[in-house]
Amino acid sequence: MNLVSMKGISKSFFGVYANKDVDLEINSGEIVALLGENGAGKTTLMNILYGIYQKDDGILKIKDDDVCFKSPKDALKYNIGMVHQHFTLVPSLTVEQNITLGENFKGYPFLKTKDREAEIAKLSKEFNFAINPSELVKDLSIGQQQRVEILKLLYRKAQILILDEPTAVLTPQETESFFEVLKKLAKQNCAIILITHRISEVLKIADRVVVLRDGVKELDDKTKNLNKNTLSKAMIGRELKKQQIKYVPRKEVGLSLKNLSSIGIGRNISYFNFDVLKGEILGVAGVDGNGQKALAESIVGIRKYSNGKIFIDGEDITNLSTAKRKESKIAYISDDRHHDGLLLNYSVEENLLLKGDASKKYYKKGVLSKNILSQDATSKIDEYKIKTYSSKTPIRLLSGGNQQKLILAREISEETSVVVAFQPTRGLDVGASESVHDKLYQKQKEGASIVLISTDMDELRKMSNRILVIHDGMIMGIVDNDQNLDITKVGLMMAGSGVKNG
Amino acid sequence: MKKFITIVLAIMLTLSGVFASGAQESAADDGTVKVALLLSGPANDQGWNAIAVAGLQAAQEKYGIETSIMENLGITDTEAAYRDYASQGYDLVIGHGFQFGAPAAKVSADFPNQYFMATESASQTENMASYVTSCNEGAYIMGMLAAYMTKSNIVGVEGAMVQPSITKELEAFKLAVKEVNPDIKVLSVYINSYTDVTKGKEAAISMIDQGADVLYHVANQAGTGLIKACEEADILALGNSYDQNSISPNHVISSTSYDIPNVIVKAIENVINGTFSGGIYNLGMADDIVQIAPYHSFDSVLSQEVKDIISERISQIKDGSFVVPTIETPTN
Amino acid sequence: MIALITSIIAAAIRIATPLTFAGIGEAINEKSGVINIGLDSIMLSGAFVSFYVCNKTDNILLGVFAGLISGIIISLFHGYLAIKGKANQTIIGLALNFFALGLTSFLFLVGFGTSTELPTCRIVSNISIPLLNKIPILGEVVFSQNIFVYLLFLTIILSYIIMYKTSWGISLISVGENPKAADTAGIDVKKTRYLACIINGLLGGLAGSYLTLAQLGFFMENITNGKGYMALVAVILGKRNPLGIFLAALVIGVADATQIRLQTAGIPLPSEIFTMLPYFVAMIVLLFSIKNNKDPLALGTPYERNAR
Repeated sequence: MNLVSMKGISKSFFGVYANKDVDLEINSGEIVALLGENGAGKTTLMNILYGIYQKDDGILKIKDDDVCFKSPKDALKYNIGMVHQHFTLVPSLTVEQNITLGENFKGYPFLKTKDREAEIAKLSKEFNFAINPSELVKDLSIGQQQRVEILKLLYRKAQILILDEPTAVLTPQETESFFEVLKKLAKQNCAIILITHRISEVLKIADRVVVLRDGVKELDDKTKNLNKNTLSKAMIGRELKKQQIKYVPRKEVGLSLKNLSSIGIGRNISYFNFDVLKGEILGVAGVDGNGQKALAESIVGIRKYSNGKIFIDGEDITNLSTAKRKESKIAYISDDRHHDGLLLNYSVEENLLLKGDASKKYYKKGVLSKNILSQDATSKIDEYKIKTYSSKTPIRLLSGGNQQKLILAREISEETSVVVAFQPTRGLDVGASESVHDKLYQKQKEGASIVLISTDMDELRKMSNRILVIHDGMIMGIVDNDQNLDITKVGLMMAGSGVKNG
Repeated sequence: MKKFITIVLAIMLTLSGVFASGAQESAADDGTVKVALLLSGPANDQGWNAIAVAGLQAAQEKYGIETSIMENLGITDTEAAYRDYASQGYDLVIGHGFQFGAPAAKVSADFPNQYFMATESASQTENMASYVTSCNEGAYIMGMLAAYMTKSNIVGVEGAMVQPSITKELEAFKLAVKEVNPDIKVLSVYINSYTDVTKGKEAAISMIDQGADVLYHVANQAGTGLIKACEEADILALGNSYDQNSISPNHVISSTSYDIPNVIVKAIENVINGTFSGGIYNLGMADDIVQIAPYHSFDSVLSQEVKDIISERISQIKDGSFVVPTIETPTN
Repeated sequence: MIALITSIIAAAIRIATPLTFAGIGEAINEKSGVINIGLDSIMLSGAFVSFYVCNKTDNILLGVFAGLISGIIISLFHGYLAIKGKANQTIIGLALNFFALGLTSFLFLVGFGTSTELPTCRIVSNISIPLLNKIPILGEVVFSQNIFVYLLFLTIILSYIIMYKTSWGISLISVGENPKAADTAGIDVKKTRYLACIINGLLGGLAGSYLTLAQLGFFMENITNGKGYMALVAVILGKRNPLGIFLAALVIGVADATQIRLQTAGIPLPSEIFTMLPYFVAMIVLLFSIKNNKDPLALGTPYERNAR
C-alpha cells in the first residue's frame, strides 16, 4: 500500500536549493534507505515530511490526503514519526514521561503513571527492547535511548518511521539488534525510512534505496539491483577509490604510553599501555564517550595525569606543556573543529597562525610578514585542495570538509612525529573524508606514528594497522587489522565484555 | 545583534562617565568669589546632595558668587576634582561628605592661597577645614524625651551603619536616657543600610516585641520603616533629619533636624569675610545648625515640667555650659 | 523564650514572603529555560504600581491587581526580548533592573512631588483563623497573618503540585531541558515559555504588592533594595523547588531576624556579615554543585525550530 507520495518537492534556504523537484514514494512494510552525502538534502526532505520545515513547492500526499504539515504535531496525526540524529529526549525525565510528553491522557493534567507505564512495558516487551519505563533517560545507554525514541513513535501509533543516521551512535552488536528491530517493524506493516551515508549498511538492511545528490534525486531502485559501486557513483559522482594495500610500519617505536592515567572532567583513561610504531596507524575503537577524548587530550597534553609516563621517540615528554609538545612535533586534529581548532570569523590565513611556536616562520624580525603568510596560505590551499574564494575569506564560509582540510594543512604540513586524529572525518562527506585519509596515509609513509580515534568501524578497518578497543576508560585489547579480524569480537570488546577473552 | 548591544552599552557607559564627571562650568576670573561643590551622587537626590546644593544656591543668591557643581564623583576621582578646581582658581572647594576630607587635606598643601572644606570629615590643614554637624546634641535631647515618655522603661534606637557620625548619635541618645533614669533599658541595633525600609521596620518590630515603647532612628530613608512600625504598634517615635511628624502625627513626638544648607553658607561667608581658617569645626545647636522640631500635637501631652527641663538643657548646650560627649565607637 | 521564638519566626515569615513569591515565579521561568535576573524590576514595578493605585483609589484589591499587571508587563517584556528577540537574557534582566529603578523613581517624583509629607496608602489587615490561631507559636505566626501570607501558602502548594504532579510540569521541564524534544512532542515551546514569564510576572508583582500594601503602606525610591537578588539566591538555594525556595527564604529570614534580636540583646554582631551571608552561602552551594549541575540544559538559550 502506498503510504507517502511526494511529488516535485522543492525547498531552498537563503536562495540555495536543499531539495529540488524531488519525487519519493514509500509503501507500507518497506525499509527505504535515503542515501547521500552530507548536505545532499536527505534530512531537509525528511524534515518536510515531518513538518519541521514547510516545502516551498510540490505535492505531499499521505494515504491520498493532500497535506502540508505546519508542525511535527500535524505529522503525528498522520502517524508519521521521526528519530533525529540528536535525540529529542529530556534526560531528567523518566522513559514514560518522555514517551507520553505532550499527550492529553486520562486524568489530565494529573500524572497517573501506572497504566501508561504498563502499556509501555508491554510495547517494549513486544519488540525485545528491555526498557524499564520508570527509569530516568539520563541513566540509559545511547542504544537504549534510541530504543526509547522508537518506542515513543510506536506508542503514538506511528506507521511511518523516519530514522536519521540511527547507527552512528551504536556498537556493531547494537546495530545488528537494531536491524532486527527494523525488520520486525516492517513485518508489522510499518514503513521505515533510513537516512544514512553508509553504503555497507544500506546494502544490508534496505529493501529499496533512494540516492540524493545536491538536493536532486539521483537514483531510486530495489537494493537487489544495486551494488557498492553503483551506489557510490550515484552518491558522489564517481566510484570509491580502491582500498590501498596497508603500509608496513618500521620497527622503531614512535609513541609510547606507560601506565598512563588521566584526571579531569568527564570520562578518564586508566593504565593505558601501548606503543605505536613509526609509520603505523593505530585505530582506537569504542563507543563514543568511553575515554576517547581523554586519550587524545592526554597525548596532546591538554589533560593532566595522575600517573604513568609518555614517550616520543624514546624521549620522556610526560611533564612537557602542550606548546612544548607541539614543538616536539605532535599534531592534533580535534573532532570538534569549531570549538577546539578554528576561529570561524577569521580568515584562512589567520587560522594558519594558530600553532604556537610553529608559526614562527611567518615572522620576520618578530613582525608578522603578511607576504610570507599569504604565500604560504596560497600554497597550502593548492596542496590541500581547500575550496575557498581567497586566503582572506573568513572560514565560517567554508564547508566542513574544507575547514577540516585547513586544520590538516596547519597541523601536519610540517615535520610530524605523532598525529592524534580524533574523529577526523566526523560530519565530512565521502570525498572530503578520502582526502583526509590520503593525507594521513602520506604522514604514515613519512614515518609518523598515528593514533586514529574513530567511532566509524569502516574507517578504522580501512585505515588502521592495528585496532585498540576501549571501554569505560580501559583498554579491552589490541587486535591486528587483517582478514582474520573478528568484527564480532571487536564489538563485544566495545561493549565491555572483552576482558574475559583476553 | 549581540555585537550591537555590546556597542550600545559601551557607548552608554562612556557617555555616562563623561557626563557624570563633567563640571558645569560657569566661572570667570573677574574678582568675584568662586565656589565649587563636589558631590558623591546626583544633585537631585532629594536628600543628602540636594540640601548641599540648596546651600550653595542660597549663598549664590545672597552674595552673588560664581558656583560650579561636580556630581557623581567616585572616591578615586575626588583628589583630581579638587586639584582641577583649585588650578582653575576657585577660592573655595567644598566636598560634601566624610570621604572628601583626606583628599582635600592632601590637595590643600599645593594651593596654599585657596581654601578647601569637607563636611562631616576629620581632616584639617592650614587652609583646609572640616565642618562637622554636632548631631549628637540633637540625639541627646531625643534621648531625654524618650526617657520621659516611656512607660515600660524600655526604649530603642536604630542606626544605619557603624560609622562615626551615626554612632555618636546612638551613644548620645543612650547617655541621655540613662541621665534621666538609669533604670531604663536602651535597646540598640544597626541595620547596615540607609535605604532598606523593610529592614528598618523589622528591626523596629523586634524592639517593640521586646517591650520598647519609644523608638528613635538614625537611619535616613530606612528609618521611615521604624516610624511606620511605631504607628502600627501604636507606640511613640522620634524622627531624624527633618521634622518627621507628618509621617505619623499621633506617634512622632519630635525630631532632630539639621540645617545642612546653612553649613555650606557659613563656610562661604567665612571665605568672603576673610575669616576662613583650617581646623575641625563642630556646628551644633549654638550655630542653629542642629535643631529640635516642634512637638506638634504632643505639646499638650508633654508636661510643662518636662518641657522646661528640655528647653533648659537646650539653652545649656547652646551657651556651652553643657557639652554633649562625642563617642564615635559603639559601646554596650 | 516562646515569645522570642514566635517573634523570630513571625519576622522570618514577613521577610520570606516576598522572596518566596518572586522566587517561585523565577523558578518556573527558569524551568522553562528563560532566566530573568531582573526580578527586582518586576518587584519594584509591582510595589510602585500597587502603591500608586491604592493611594489614588483607596482600593487595596485594585492596587494588588494593578501591581500584578505591571509585573506581568515587565516580565513579558523580558520574555519577548529573550524568546522572540533572542537577546542575551542576563543582560536584559540587568538592564530592566536599572530601567525599573529609574522609571519608578521618576514616576514617584511626578506623582507625589518632593515634599517631606510621606504619601501613604492603606495596608491589608491580619486575618486570624478561629481556633487554629490558638495553637502555640504556629497559631500566631501562621494563622494570624495577612491575606498575602495565606496566598503564599496556597501558591507554594499549587506550584508544587503543578511542577511535580501534573503533565504541565513535565511540559515545563521538557521545554527547559530540550525544547526540540518538546516541540516534536507537540508542545508549543514559545507559548509555554511566555506562560512561564506571565506566571513569573504575576508572582513577582505580588511580591512587590506585598511590600507596599502589606508590609509598609508607603513607597520610596528603590524600595525593594535588592530583594529581587535575594529572591534569586533563594531560587538557587532552594534548587527551584517551591518548598525549597520557601525554606531557603525562611532561613534567610530567620538569620536576619535573629541577628537583629541578638544585637538588641546587647550581643554585638557585625551586621555586614549577615548582609553578606545569603550570597556567600549561595556561592558555596554553587561551588559544590559544579559537578552536579541541575540547571535546565536549555537555560538562557532561545529556541529556534528552523536552526540549521
